[in-house]
Amino acid sequence: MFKYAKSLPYPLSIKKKDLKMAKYIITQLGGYAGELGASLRYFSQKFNMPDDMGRSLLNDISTEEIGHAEMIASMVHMLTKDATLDELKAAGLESMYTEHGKGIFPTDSNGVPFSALTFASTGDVFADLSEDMAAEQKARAAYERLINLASDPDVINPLLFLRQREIVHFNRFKELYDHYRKTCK
Amino acid sequence: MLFDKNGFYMIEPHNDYDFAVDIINGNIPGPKMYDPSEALKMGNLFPSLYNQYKDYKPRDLKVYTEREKLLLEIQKLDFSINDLNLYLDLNPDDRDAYRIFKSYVEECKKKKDSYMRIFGPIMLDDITDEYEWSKGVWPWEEGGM
Repeated sequence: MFKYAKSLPYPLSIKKKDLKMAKYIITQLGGYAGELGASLRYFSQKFNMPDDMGRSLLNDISTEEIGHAEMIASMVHMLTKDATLDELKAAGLESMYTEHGKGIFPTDSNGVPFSALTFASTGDVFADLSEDMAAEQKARAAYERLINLASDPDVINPLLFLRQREIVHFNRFKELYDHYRKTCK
Repeated sequence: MLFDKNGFYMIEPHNDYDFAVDIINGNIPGPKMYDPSEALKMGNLFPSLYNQYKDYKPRDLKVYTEREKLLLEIQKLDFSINDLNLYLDLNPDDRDAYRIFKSYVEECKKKKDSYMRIFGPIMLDDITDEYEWSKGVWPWEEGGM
């Protein structure tokens, strides 16, 4: 059972609209390295973990990631909510506006909708945990590209926070992988 | 006293963190940890895992209203509880780490109780005199946090 808490994992206060940045950041909701895929990946894989360490770590990181998905969606909302039609046009967001208005929809930065095919649940702990480590590295790289593109500290700091979480999760998954290398022959 | 004479929310001295300070200072075996304030700012409770990107340094978190100040204190503890729990998932027998985990949970409960009484529920089962769950700002709105 999941329960909602009325707070984000890290405080957001984005006052300047930035439509281009919103178009890039949405990929961390619906792209191949996004938070939605991350959450669903570990959610799906946890059922096949063989011991308490695996079940708890995948369950708990999956839960943390859905909070990050809400954080990314909130950032896109804050960056776009006050945009005029002319500003949307100037930023080249006519297609996004046509499909979704100012609604939040999980896509990558090219507007390609989220696909569950961006992750796997193989039923094999070594295959799954190797994918999980790679997924955290892909997300770290994605956040670094976004930080390179951003100029507003109110946008950069949450991105630095989310990048750092990828590093922690990578290390935890690696510790779990190494644990299974020792215990599962 | 919840607010000082200037109306600012008083961050209670970290009396409950005496044990945490030992871990933060590395006086006890086990991984060193940032204090909850630094941990949220860094996005990482564990200095040994911290990885800086280029020359970007995370900035201090700024809050303005009384509600934001108290919620930030809760976010710091929620963050530290979560990150410490990921460590405990893999190190369930580290009793020192669990002691600090419990102290953060206790402190967080106190702060959530203060928040709820003044600003309304964070969780659905935070009971207030009148129904307030659907009211007020949501996390994705301006000032929602």
